[in-house]
Amino acid sequence: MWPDVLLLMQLYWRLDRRDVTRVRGWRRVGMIVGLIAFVFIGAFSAAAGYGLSFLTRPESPVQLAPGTVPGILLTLVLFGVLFTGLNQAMRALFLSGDLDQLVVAPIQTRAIMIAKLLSRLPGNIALLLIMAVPAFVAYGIGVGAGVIYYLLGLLLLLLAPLFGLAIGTLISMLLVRWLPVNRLNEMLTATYALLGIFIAILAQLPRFFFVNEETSIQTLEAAGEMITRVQSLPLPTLLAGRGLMAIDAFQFDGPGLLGVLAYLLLTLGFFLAVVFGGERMYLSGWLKAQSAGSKRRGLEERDNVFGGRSLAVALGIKDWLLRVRDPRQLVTLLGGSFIAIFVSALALFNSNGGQGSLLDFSVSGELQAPGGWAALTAAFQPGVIMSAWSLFAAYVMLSTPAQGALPLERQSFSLLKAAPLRPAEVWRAKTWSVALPAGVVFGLILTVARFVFPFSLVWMPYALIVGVLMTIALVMLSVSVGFRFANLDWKDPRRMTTSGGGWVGLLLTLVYGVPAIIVAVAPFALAQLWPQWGVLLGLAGITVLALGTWFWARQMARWAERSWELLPA
Amino acid sequence: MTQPVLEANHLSRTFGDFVAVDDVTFSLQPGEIVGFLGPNGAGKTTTIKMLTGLLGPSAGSARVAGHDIVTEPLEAKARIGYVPDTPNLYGKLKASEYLRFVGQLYKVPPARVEERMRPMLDMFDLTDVAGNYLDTFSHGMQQKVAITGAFLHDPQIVFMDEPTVGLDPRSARLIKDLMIRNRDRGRTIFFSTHILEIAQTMCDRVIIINKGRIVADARVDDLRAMRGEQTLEDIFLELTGGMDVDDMVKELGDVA
Repeated sequence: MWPDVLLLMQLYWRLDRRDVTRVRGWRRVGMIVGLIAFVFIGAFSAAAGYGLSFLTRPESPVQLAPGTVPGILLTLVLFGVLFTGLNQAMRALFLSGDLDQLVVAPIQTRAIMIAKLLSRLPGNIALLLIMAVPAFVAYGIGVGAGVIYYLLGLLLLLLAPLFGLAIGTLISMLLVRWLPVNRLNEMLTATYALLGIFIAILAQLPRFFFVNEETSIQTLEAAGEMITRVQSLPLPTLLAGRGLMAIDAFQFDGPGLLGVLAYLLLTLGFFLAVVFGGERMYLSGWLKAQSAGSKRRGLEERDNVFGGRSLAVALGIKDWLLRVRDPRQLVTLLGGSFIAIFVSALALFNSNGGQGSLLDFSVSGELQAPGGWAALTAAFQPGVIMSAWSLFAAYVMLSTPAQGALPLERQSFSLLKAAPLRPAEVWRAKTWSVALPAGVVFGLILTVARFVFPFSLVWMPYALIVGVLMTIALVMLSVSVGFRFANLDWKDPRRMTTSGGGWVGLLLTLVYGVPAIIVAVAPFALAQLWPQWGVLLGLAGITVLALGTWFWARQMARWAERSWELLPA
Repeated sequence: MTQPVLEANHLSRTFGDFVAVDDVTFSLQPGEIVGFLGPNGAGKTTTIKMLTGLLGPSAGSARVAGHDIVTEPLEAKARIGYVPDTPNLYGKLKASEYLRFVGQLYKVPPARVEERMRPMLDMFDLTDVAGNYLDTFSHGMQQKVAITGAFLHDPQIVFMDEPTVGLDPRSARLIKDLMIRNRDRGRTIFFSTHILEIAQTMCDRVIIINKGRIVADARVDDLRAMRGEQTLEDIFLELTGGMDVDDMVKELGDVA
């Protein structure tokens, strides 16, 4: 069995290595940026580990036992691998394309299972080396730990992924019995996207707890108390941390030693039990996955959502059906918008660092310059800030579906290309199918914002018109970027465009956005000086912006048409 | 003589230095089934993609019912039905939704879509699953939906790239019947296949392409008569440089 395991693992590692070494162009730039980010994460982790070592010193206001921090670290790592393990086990064991070939080959199923699971280890270990090991090592330096701390501690840390993979294997072997594999794949991607959103929102929590010096001290005290309480919990990971420090100090600590043993059983022991005991379950799960079917549903009149409508409407309905029926896309759509609204609203409404929010400043008039200078600070009036926020929220909410409008076709693009349609017709249909909801969302947010946060209604119609115009222009831009950088082979909805799309999209947003904002705000700003010309200035602003947007639309449509011919069908 | 439904004039397509299709010329008449044969990589799919407007030619032109596929694409495409080699359908649409959407693309009145869709779904045993999402369908079922979609607007010519791959014998037979019925109604079927028995029994005419060039274009009976009543398989192997296959098979037998 082991030669087969080794052979397969070599193959998977080689394939993984090629995925990294063969990256070219923008992806390579992205990878370098990612590596730099990892260096910062590692440095932050080390600083946190070293800082925590001060809590074990007598002069610290919160007293922690030396084993508490390694114990908490092991607990967090096991918690983390629990989330990643299910994804990795499911993809490796049931969603990889080579299973048909391997299952019929004269190889023990157990060998396939072990090789597939162990091949996921290098990625896990790399993550641990970046996120957890620096904190662990720095903490050891801080408390003056000996060699055994590092050796045994690193072993315990590096065994952690086995726990996640073992739990993930068990759960995935059960799940494939009830759900078709492609549905599971979608749900898994959606779940992890949701998890990412949840983490992004969690990352905003410090804004609430570290508002000023007083609340910061209260938060730190509460955290200290919580850690003191946690360290006495009988968790195997916490006890393992305690045992680790005791062994390093050549002391006997019965519960600590038991903790280390329990940790080894949880990770290595559990993993071995699953791979050596779960062979039949894996094979039967795989066979079940091959025969999963669904309830038969016949021809129904209510499915006739396209009949008699225009081509543009039919294309729009089809696109939205594809989006809302795919949980991955739905989460990407809702998640992005939720984060955008939540984070930007926090920045606007919530006081930041105890200095007051942007809106507080705006309402208090502190941001308004006196006399003729008022024109220059007009952009900081509450109505303008709320309009900008509504535009931002609406655009972020719908920019992902806009950019994915053409890539949504995937390989079915050949159907559109072979049909008697002009590329411009498709571009228009796809643009309006997103631009209309985006315009409505912008209007709704601005209207609701007006009730929550009152501002002058005099310029509201103007704000609505220029906001809708700008929303439409930005949606056009995103749809065209999707035409030019479409990835028609996508499997993950976050990869619907090729890597250059994001950068070009950002650049074009600036090319249109900066002049458009100036044109949109200028009439309002000038009206501060000459209020009697307000209506005329507003009309002039709308006219100039409408003309600019029309010109922009033509350019975007032409660009999309040229891209159409380049797309493979 | 009636106007050809398809005329390919000196069509060529290069990818960098590689010449995939080299100066291909032929025409198709209404009411004929034409098999497009050739070894793997001979240029069949590239030719079909150029004829359907999916790929622009590097040189030459193609006309469908008198309309140039490059300069009058809408008029030409409205007369074409296309079944790709792999049925890439929208997985999150139901089969019936997909077909109604295709009807919209080809501007077929809704009542007409229902009228044409239902018998074909019945014929392919798909009526009971027409309300299911396409990503729950097997390859063969998806292929049948794609074929139904290609015939929905009653095109003058249908291009089919390997239409019987992945189909059970009953479905393959149904597709053959569908092709014959449409031929008898004056429609033209142009399909590529590797199964020479199908070509021999079904086609009025075969076009054989090898290394991007057409090496034969004749009625099956004429071709056989010209080649001393050889089977289509022998003719194919001879024209595409595969006559050494017998020797290879023998050699493999010796090794085994």
